[in-house]
Amino acid sequence: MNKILIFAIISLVTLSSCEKVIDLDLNSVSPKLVIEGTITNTGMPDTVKLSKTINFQATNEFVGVANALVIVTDNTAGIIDTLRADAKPGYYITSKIIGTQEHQYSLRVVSEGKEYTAQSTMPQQVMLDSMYQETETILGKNIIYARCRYTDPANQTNQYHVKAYKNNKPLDDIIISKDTYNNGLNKTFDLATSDGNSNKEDNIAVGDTIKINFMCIDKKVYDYFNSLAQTLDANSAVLANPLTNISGGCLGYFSAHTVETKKIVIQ
Amino acid sequence: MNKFTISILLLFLSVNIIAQNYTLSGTVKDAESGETLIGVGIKVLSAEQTGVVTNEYGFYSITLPQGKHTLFVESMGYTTDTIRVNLTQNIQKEISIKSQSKVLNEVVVSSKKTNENITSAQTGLQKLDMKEINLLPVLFGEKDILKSIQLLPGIKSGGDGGGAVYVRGGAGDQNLLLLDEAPVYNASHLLGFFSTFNSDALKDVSVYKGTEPAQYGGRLSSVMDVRMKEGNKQHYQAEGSIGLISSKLSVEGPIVKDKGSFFISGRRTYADMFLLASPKYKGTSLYFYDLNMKANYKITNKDVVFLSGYFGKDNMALKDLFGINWGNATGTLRWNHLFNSKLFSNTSFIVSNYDYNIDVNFGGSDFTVKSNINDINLKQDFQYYLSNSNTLKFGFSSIYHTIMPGKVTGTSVTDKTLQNQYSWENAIFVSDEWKVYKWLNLNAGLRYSAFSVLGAGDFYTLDDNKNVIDTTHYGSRKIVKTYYNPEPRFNASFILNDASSFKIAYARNAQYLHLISNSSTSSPTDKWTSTDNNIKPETADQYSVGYFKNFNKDMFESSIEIYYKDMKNQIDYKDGADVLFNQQLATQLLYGIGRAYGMEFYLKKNVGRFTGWISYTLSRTEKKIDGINNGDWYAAKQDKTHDISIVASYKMSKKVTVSANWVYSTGSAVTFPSGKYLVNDQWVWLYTSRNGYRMPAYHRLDIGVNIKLKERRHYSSELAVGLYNAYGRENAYVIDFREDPDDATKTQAVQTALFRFVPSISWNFKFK
Repeated sequence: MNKILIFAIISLVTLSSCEKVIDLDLNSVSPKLVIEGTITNTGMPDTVKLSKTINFQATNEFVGVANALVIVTDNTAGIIDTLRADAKPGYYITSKIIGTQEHQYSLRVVSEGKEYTAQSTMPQQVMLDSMYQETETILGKNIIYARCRYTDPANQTNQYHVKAYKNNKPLDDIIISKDTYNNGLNKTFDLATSDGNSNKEDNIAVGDTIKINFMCIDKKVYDYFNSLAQTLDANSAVLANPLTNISGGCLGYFSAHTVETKKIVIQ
Repeated sequence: MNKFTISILLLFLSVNIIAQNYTLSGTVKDAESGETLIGVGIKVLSAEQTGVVTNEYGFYSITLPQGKHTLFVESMGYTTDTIRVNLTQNIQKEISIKSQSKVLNEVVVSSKKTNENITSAQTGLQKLDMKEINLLPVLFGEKDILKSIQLLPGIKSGGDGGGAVYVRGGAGDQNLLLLDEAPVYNASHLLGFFSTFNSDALKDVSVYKGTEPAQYGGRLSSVMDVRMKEGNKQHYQAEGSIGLISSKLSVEGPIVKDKGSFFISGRRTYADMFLLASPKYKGTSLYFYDLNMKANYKITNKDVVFLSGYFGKDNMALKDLFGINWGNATGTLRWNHLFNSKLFSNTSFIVSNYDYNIDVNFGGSDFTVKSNINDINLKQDFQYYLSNSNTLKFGFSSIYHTIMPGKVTGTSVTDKTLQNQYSWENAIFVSDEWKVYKWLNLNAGLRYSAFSVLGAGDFYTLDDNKNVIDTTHYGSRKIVKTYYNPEPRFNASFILNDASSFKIAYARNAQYLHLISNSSTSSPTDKWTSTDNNIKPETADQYSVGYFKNFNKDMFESSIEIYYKDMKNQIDYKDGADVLFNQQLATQLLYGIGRAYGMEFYLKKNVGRFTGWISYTLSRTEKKIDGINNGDWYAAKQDKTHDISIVASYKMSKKVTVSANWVYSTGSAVTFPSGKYLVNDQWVWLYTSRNGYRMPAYHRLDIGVNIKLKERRHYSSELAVGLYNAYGRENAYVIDFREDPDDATKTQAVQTALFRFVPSISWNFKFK
């Protein structure tokens, strides 16, 4: 919100502000391992993805890392699951683990002779109260907002993460919250708007289907996404790789979280 | 301490007391307005090199043998006055000198320039002439000293729309901005496009680049000492301007003629008024205002009191959906007292407050955030004129700081208040300005500062990984910890001849308050935080040498200064730091050392039709902090290798002056990604080192024309027209990275530039 206002003001004040794509000579860097592991309560098999970073100028392409040993353990139930490699390189799929609230999970990855480990606990699920659209008039413009709302339980510490999709295309905004300042209260998320996104491609319009995955995440995973959001904003005080909860020296995160999926069609 | 006391005693003893000497003292004023004048030289004809300079209240004291003397009173922009006195006893004498523009109505201003820059022991000092500043072209025509000083050597700009100023490699929070002695904690209006200093209200500006005399302290890199006008003691007058973005009006006049006067100046921007003309912007506000006020009264021949105040506020609101306002309020009550013709005293009681408020009532969010910093300060300065060649200054300062980092209230939040920070900053100081020989001037002193962190509050013990391992509660006003710092200051000038000198300086400064920001640009919500049991006082030792030379009878002045600064307990953020509303702020910070060094070149033409200067700074500023870039030295954000300013103004005729300035600087150090990877269904950036890249170089030309429209006895008016960024350079404000909108398989860098070809026009008037 702060950012939208500041941009509104800057554009009011400066009739001459302008944007252009520039060429930057960015260093190339030796590839680093990225691990993205999620355990969910959807009942579906879960995936741990292993990939390598690429140079900034390279074509966006997922460089999967094959031939790794990936083990997920449900520490609470005592189930050890050695993940099977999927046909798609870098994808490893669970077969025994069924994600359950309040269970603690461990991840162990051995790749290219190095070992990486992480833990994550799936929080109790908080369900959405509703997902809806509203129109607000700002500076004479009618702007459509897709929103969702939930009620935070007062008796526990909660963290939330919403991933939104427009017509199945993932939107870039990282939407997260923790209940430090609104424990036990209603909370509304702006999921997407018809105007004012930093990335214009993410603006929504009538007819678009907005789908969300509403996730309850643990504290360390919240810290990961909070710092990831900072790294995507060039105005942040610190630009650095996000705080991973995986030890061993790689990028990415391991998260056991609940998922609730909802969608609306903008009218 | 003991050694120090002895040396002070020795200084006293070294004064020759000769029975038949008498003292001439008083104040020097502008003949027309009665405004006291700072830095006026008073020289004795009979004794070459015997002379004094008026202090910040226009006071002078000169001691001479019994008998008749001829004195010259000279100051830049004023005609030299000759005064004859017959000293048979101590005499108090008010001196009035005439402004040159009143005397000569010629095209070529043949102002006499003194060689004060050569002889003065003070190094790293930049004086600004308000008349000179008024001719410089600036953004939207808003004359702004904080922008003008960035054209001087060693002082760098934060770029377009950045309120920050960087002095000799120091960070943006290492500058002490004083308005009539009151600290101004956030000098930015409108997100940094303008400063809080309304130039119409200012009388004198001195910028010390870290080598300041001992009466100043509290920041590592610089002191900008800004003094407000006192007001015309003879008659009422008004001046003002109507501009594109703001209008200003100042009124001044006597309270009782020759005894007291007042000065009031107000400024308000009105961009929002144009917006309000359209119904769709109803309820939107976007403005700032400043109000400067000052009054003085001479109670007796020995006592003058001054009361000054500043209030400023920025307000931005989108109806009742979102609003933010912020502002400073300062007040200074001063009492000048003359104990005798040689002992001048000033007592100041100062308050300063900065606060911001955010209101959000949008999309299910309804809350208010408040934050403020407040100072109450008592200061005592004595100036003892031991002899014409020796002035001793001593005194103390005691400041009680209260910081309310943040308080959140509202229906969509559970009310929360971050713990208030209380602290007590004390200092005693003594310094001596001593003309030891004809060829040697010294200005040496010691400041001894103490900073006590006070309760009430919880104080945390952290382990090496910045985890809280213990919490201790301290009761109200209980001392948590006290830090002590001796801060020696030493300046010396070796005068080679009338037109050249060599100077050396050493200074140590300690800083107890630190600015924490969650964005790379300055913002009204940047937070001051106090030194505590975890955050240590920052210190800097600066060493500098300089060579100063004037040419052509002081028509040109030039200097080369070299400095090296060694900094300790420098602060930077941990990777992924979360500093927004964090009670345990120290868990997010890292500490280390810093170094800054550079060379400053300055060449200035003071008089003639054509005036101006060239300044060039070659410098480096780096930090070394465990936990950042593997503990290696890395460039600080404000590290800009080359920094050039060329300022020129040409008086074409009696009525028309044209001016231009061009600036160039290496881009600041910045963090860019070196790679990317897919996570969370999106491409995100891989960073390899902090501040490892450079923004593109910044350069810009501004031009301006000042036209005198009318010049009558009781009325004058002029028109100022300007063009900022005249060749439309797209200077990068920020560089963002994103997926290519036309090709999802590519990523791209996007540069945003703010100001190109910004015209301005303002009409200035004066009634008297």
